[in-house]
Amino acid sequence: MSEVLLSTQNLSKSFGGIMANKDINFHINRGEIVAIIGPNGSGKTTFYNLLTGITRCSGGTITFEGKNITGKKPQEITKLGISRTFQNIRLFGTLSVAQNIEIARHCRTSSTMWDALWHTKKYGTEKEENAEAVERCMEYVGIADKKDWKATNLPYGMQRKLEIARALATDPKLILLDEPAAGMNPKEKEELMDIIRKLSSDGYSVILIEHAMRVVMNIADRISVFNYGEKIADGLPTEIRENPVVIQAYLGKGASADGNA
Amino acid sequence: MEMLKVENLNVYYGNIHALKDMSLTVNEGEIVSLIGANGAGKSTLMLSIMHQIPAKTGKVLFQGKDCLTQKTFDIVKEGMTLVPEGRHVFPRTSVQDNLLLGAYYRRDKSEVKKDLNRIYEMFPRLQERRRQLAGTLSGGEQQMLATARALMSRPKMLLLDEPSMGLAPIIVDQIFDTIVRINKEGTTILLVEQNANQALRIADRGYVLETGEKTMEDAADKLLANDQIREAYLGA
Amino acid sequence: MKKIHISLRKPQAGELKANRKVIAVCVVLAAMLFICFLDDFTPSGRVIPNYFKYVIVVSLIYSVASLGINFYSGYQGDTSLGHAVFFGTGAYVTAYLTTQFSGINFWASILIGMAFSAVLSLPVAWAGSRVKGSFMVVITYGYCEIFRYLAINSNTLGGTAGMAGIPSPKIFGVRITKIPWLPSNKDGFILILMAIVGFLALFTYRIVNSRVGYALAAVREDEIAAYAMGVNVKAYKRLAIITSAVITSVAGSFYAGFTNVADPSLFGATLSITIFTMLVIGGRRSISGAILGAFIVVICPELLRYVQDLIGLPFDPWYILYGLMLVIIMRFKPEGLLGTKES
Repeated sequence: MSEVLLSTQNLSKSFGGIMANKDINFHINRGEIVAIIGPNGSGKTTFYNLLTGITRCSGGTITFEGKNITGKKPQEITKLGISRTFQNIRLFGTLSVAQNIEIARHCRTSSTMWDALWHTKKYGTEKEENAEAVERCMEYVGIADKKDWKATNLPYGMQRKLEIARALATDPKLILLDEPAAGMNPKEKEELMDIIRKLSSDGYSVILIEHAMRVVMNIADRISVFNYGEKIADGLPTEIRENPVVIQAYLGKGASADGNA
Repeated sequence: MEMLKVENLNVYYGNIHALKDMSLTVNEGEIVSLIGANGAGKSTLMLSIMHQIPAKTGKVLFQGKDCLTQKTFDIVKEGMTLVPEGRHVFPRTSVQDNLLLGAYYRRDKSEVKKDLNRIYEMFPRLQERRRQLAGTLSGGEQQMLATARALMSRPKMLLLDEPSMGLAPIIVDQIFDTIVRINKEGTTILLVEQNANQALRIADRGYVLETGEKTMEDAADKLLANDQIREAYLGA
Repeated sequence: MKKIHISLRKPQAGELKANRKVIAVCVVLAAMLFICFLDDFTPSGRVIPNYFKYVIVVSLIYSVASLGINFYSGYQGDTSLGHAVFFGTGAYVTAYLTTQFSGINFWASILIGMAFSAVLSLPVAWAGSRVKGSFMVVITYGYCEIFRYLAINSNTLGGTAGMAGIPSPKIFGVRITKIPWLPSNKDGFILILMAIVGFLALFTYRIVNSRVGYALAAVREDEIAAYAMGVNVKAYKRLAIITSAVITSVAGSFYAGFTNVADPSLFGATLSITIFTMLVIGGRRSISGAILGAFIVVICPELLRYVQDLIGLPFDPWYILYGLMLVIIMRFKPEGLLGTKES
């Protein structure tokens, strides 16, 4: 289980002189759940944008399954097996739940306009496979009964789940979740934790940016802490919780102990 | 004294009955929390109070005046402000100007300046970035800014919809401290929070909403002690 | 303000609606054929005025253009006020090749026009990968005006007067206007254009519901999320504009072949706006809407001119009503007459 899936070496990004990410050395093993915590604006989402190729890094390298993937295009990275959700929910709003998930099958299918026009055999098989994948992903996060709903009409918590389903439909090896628990109540957070645990036991690796400490402390195998674009700490949840630097910069007075956030 | 009174409010989205006979009161100087699952109608209630969504039947009275016959901006002038869910900052405007726009209706310029400095004390992060365009802030910083901007309007009554969403625990603490502080300084508060635990701890009273209906109302400490509530909303 | 809207309605067309559509298509088809062949069975000659058939042909030509722009301004979602570039290119390529190179026949000129339009669409794709939608409106507008001035100032293309004397297309050696078993010189065009519109409707429908159409939807709704789903955003934007340009070009070629002239106004912003308006009135991302829009924008002014003559109005009422119609539709049905509502 200790095989490294993804690692970064001195990964850096500067926006007009401001170091949004500075010399980040990070790694995640296969099947692991690693949480990234840190104050708002500490460069966590930037880190995701670098990993997924949406932003180009200014220095350092990203290694995925032993291969250097630095500088690859976002669509190539998705195809290699990294997918993500977004902090500020980016669903395809006017489309249905099922259609949102089917779009995610794009990187695993290859039929062309020609196939679509003449409904070739390939088109038919892919449509069937997609329908199965859509079903499976909806079941996985528990939104199958909302299949035909327009994405924007879903309640907030379900939109977050749909984002996970959509990420799952790309057949990823690594899933990056950006504040999946934001806006969820405790009950929904429990369900979310179950989903993430299931992902991990099914062999997916998960990186999790999250402020809800109860979620982080309960499910993360390891925690990395970011502050001002740098990784300032890394360790087991129990270690991080006691770390005075982390408490001072991020956790605050008593929030960590009873995990009410 | 009753600051805000909602009576038998019914709101529909198409065929869907989003709020059913909703009634609540907020007295002057109180903090009142609304709790409930996603889709229970909390945000709808907030928006209906501000007359952003039309109600079919019912009444909303703010300081005895009917809100449902007024336009939203007139309600704001009367002294009631809403911080809506999500990060509605002005993206191509600087952080400082965003904050000053929050004080748009105020005439007491020197007080505005004092308040601005106080906000910067509370949120040093915003001071560091005061010249930056709000759209370039990280998600959490934008939430901070949206809440701070509302505080700048010094309303008599403030409606907060999920002010702590997506914020670091230490900032969440600060936000709740701030809410308590401005409440002590005379602002009445109606608060919607997923973080029901902390919300009820600072509240005087609470209402529980389920699928558009009010299912319970009580003193906040009683709700905190209620087993049913603890299980459903507090995750204990 | 954020709009909250809850709807249990299925976003996809239901069974019943699909059946209704099939019936509607059959009715329209039957009506068209009836119009074409009625005079064959009336011994005394013309019942349907030739002028009426002329209007139908023009409507069908614009339906092709409207279905064309639908790929760009509908499915990919960027506004274009420059589609006359492709309409004009089709028309001028056909005009030039059929009059100057007398050997090249109409059908080959359509294909060559399509190729030209595809190439001319690439700068639009290039610009589109760099700037946002609202800038594209200005860019596409300027783009088509450039071509209008080129056409005006080019002697080879006939300057302001344009090119006349374009021969009517032949099919199996017979002029389309003189097919013996058809009662008038317009019926050949009606039948062929109906087949083309029908094919394009099927083409659009199938593409939209395929992987390619889904990718276009993703690009339209959220580019960042589209990238994250593995969609090559730039490539699909390019695909949308090329497809759109190529289809619009076919309309231009037919316009030249039917009216026998091509003039610089075919590159003009006015025509661009007309094509765009057809789509918006009918409904973006609606196939039947694109066709309906074209028919409305072509037929209404003709109808009103008739009304003008009838009651002796001193001015053409169309321009007033056209503006009014746009305002009313955009106010009460912003998604267009047959478009689907967005939340």
